[in-house]
Amino acid sequence: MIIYKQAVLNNGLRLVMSRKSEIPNVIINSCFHVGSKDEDPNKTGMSHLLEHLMFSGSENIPGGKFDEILHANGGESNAFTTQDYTSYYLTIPSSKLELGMWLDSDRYASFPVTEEGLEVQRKVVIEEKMQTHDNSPFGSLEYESAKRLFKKSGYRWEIIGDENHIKNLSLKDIENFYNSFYNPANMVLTVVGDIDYDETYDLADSYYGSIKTNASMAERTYSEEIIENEIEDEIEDNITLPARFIMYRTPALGTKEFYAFRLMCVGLSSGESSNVYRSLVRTDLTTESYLSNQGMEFESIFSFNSFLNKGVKISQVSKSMDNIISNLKMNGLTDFEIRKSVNKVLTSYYLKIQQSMNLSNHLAFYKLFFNDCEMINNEIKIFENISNQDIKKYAEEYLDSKKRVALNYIPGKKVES
Amino acid sequence: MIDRTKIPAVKPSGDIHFPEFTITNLLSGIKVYLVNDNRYPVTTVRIMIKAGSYNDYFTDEYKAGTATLTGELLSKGTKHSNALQIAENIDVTGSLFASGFGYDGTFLTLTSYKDNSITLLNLISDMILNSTFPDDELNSKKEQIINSLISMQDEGSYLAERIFKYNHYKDTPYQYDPDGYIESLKQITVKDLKKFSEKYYNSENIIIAIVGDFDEGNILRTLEQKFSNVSKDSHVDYFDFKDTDNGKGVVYLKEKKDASQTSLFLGHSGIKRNNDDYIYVTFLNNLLGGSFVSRINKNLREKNGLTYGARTSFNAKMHSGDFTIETEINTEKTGFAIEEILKELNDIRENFVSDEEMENTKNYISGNYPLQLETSNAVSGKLMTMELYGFEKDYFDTYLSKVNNITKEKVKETALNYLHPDKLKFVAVGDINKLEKQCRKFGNVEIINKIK
Repeated sequence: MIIYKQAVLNNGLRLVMSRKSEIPNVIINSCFHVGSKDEDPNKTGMSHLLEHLMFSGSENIPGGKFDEILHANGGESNAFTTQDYTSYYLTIPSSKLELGMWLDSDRYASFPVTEEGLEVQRKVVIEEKMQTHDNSPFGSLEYESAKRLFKKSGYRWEIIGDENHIKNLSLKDIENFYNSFYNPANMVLTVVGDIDYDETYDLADSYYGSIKTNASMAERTYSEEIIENEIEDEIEDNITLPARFIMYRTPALGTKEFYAFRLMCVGLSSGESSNVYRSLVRTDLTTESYLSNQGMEFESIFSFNSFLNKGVKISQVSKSMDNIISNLKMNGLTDFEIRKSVNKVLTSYYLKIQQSMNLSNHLAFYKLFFNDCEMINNEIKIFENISNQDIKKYAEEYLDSKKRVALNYIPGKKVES
Repeated sequence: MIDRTKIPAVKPSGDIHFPEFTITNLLSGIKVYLVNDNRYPVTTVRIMIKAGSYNDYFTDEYKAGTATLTGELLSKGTKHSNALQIAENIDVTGSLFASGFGYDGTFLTLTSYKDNSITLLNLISDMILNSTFPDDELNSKKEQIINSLISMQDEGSYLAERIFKYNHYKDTPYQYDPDGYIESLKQITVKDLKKFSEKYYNSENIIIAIVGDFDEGNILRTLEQKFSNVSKDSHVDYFDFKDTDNGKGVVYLKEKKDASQTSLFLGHSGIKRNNDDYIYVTFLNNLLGGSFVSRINKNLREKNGLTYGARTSFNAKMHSGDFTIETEINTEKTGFAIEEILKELNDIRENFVSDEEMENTKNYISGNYPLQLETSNAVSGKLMTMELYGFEKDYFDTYLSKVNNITKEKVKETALNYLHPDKLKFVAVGDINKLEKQCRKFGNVEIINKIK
C-alpha cells in the first residue's frame, strides 16, 4: 500500500507527498490541467511550445540557467505535454529539495517567457516535429487518426500542433494562454522521495503557496460527434512495408470500462501465448501486432496495430484482426487470459511503485484528474473485479465496426535502398 | 516571505551504497549473484551468457545473427515443452519476460511476483539447458527479424549509424549489429544454433543474478538441482583489434528522398569497457555531449535552434569501442553544425575546462547516481556489467569517490588521448544535393547506395 499525505495550500494548489527513502533523492512533479485539446483551433501547438519555454529562464533564473543550476546540483529535469495535461518533473538529491522547489516554482510565479527564448524554442520545436513526425516512419499517424476520430473537440489535432500555427504564435498569445491555465488552482504538486512531511509542506507552502491566483478556471465542457459510418483510408508514407491501424473510441480514463479495455489489451496481446501473437506474428503475417487503450480525460482510444511482413496483403491481415475483435465481442476473454492479465497487471504495478519517478507520475495524475490519490491503492481491486460479462458487454457496445477508423499505411514515395 | 532572488543554501547529499550481494558458485561451476531485498514483493531473475554477436565472427562462415537467433530460440521449444507451452507458463504467472542480444552477451530476464521465484527458475533453466531449436520456430523468427531490418532502413538515423559501424568495424567481429543482416540471417540453420549453444553455453559463460524477495536456501537448492548438468568445456575467441580508424576523413553520404532533416553521425575509435580510463572518458563525455547541458547540445539546440537534440557517446564494448556524435539536424545548416562540433572538440582538447564545470559535473554524476540503483532490475543489470567486464566487487561502491578525484588536468589529458577530430568519419543521410556542397570540405565524399 502506498502511504501519502495531501494538503491544499491557500491559493488552491493541491499538494501530494509520499515518503520513499530507499535512495537519498526526491522527485518534484508539477502538473497543470491543460493540454493540446484546450487550445484555440487556430493556435495549435501552444501547450507544447509553452512547455519548452518554461525551461528558458524566469524572473530570478537567467536564460539557460535552469538546467545548468539543476545539473550542477545533481539534478535532472524534463516535461511532457498530452492532450489533457502538462507535466514538469525534476529529480534532485533530497538534501537540496529547497533548491529544486525554488527553481521549479519561479517559472509559475510570473510569466517567464522572453522574445529571445521564444525564437530559439520555436525553431527547436519545428526541428522536433521534423524528427519525430515528418521524417519518421508512421510519424503522421497521430495527425491522421485524430482528425478522423474527432470532429469537434480539441482532440482532433495533434499535440505538437500545426507548423504554421507554431510559426505564428506571438509572445502575447503565449502569455494569455499561460494566464488562463497556469494557475495554482489548476495545478498539482507532487513530491516523492526521501522527505520529511512537515519540512516538505513548509517549503511547498513558501515557494508554491505564494504564487498568485488569477481569475477562476472556466468550467470545462466537452462535446464530440459520433462516428456513424466506418472511416477507412489509405495513407501514403515514406515506408517500405505497409501497416494497418484500427481505432475505436472508448470511455474516458478512470471509468470501469477504461480498466476493462486495458485488461482486454493485456489479455489479447501481451506475451507470446497471446491470441494476437499466435494469429498474426507467429503465422508470419506481421512483424509486430498489439492492442492498446490510450486513456484521455473525456474519451479513450482503443487501437489494434499491425505492421506487415514483406509480401503480405493488408486484406489478409485485416481478416485476422477482425476475427480477433469479433471473437472478443462474442466470447470475451478466456479464463486463462483473464488470470494472465490480472497477474501481469499486478507485476507491473509493483514495478511501477518501485521507481519514485513512476510513482510520482501516477499520484499526480490521479490527483489532477480525479482529486483522489487512493485510486493508486485500488487499481488492482478494480482489475480483479472485472468479469467476463463486463468485457463482453463493453466490447459489444464500443467495438462497433461502423464507428471505427481504419488506416492503411502504404509505401508511397519509394525509399531508395 | 521567501526571497526568490537568492539561490537557497544546500546541504551535502547523503551517502549511497551499492546493495549488498553474495556470490556463490554452484557445484557445476556456474556463478550466482544474490541480492535479498524484501521491500517489494517482486523478484527479478536475470541470466547472462557471455557470448554475443562478437562470437558470430568465429562461426564457420561468419553467419552474423547466430548468437541472437540462438538466444531467441531458447524460449521456442525444449525437451519438455513447445513454444506455446513455454509462453503460457511464463504468461500465466504474470511474469514480464525480456531478452537482450548484445555484442558481448546474451541476456534473459524474468520478473514476477515473489511467490513465482521457483517457477521462474524451473522455466529459465529448462530454456537454457534443454532447448531443441525447432526448425519452424527458427524460420518464423528469421522472418520477423528480417522484416524489422527492412523497416528500420526507413529511418535515417538507423541508416547513418549502420553506415558508420559497417565501415568503422570493417573486417572485425563488430562489423554487424547483433541482429545480423538479411543475407546472413537467411543462411542460418538449426545446426548452426545447436553448434553455437554447445560451444558457448557452458558453466564458465552462464551467470545468474537474482534480486528481490526470495528464500535464499530454497533458491540455492533449486539452482543446484536445475543447473547440475552443464558442460564445463570453456572456449575463448581471440581477435586482434587494431584501431586503424577505417574510413578516416571520409564523408559518407546516403540519399533519403523527402528527408526533412539530415541524420548526421560522426565518429572515430574509442575505448574498451574495462580500460581503466573508461571513468575519465565518461566524465569527459558528460561535459562534451552526454547530457542536456553539455557543450554540444547547448550549442546546436539551445544556442542555434538547429536540432531537437545532439549527443555524444563512448560506446565501449568488451574488445574495442567507438566515440560517436549524433543528431538529426536542419539540412541547410548541416555544414555549419559540423564546424561547430569540430570547434567544440578542439576547444575541449586545447583548453582546460573551468573549475566550475568540473565541480558541476561531479555534483551531477554523484547526485544522479542513486537513481541508477533504485529498482531490482537496475541492480541486477549492474551486477551483470560487473561480471561481464571483470570489475572488482567494489567497483560501483567506489565509483563516486573516483569521480570526485578527477582533475581538470586529467580531463584535458583524456581529451587529447581519446578525441581525434583528424580521425573522424562523417555520415550524413538526407538530401544529397544539398549536403554534398556543404560537406565536401570535410573529406572525400563517398556515396553509399546500398547498406548491409
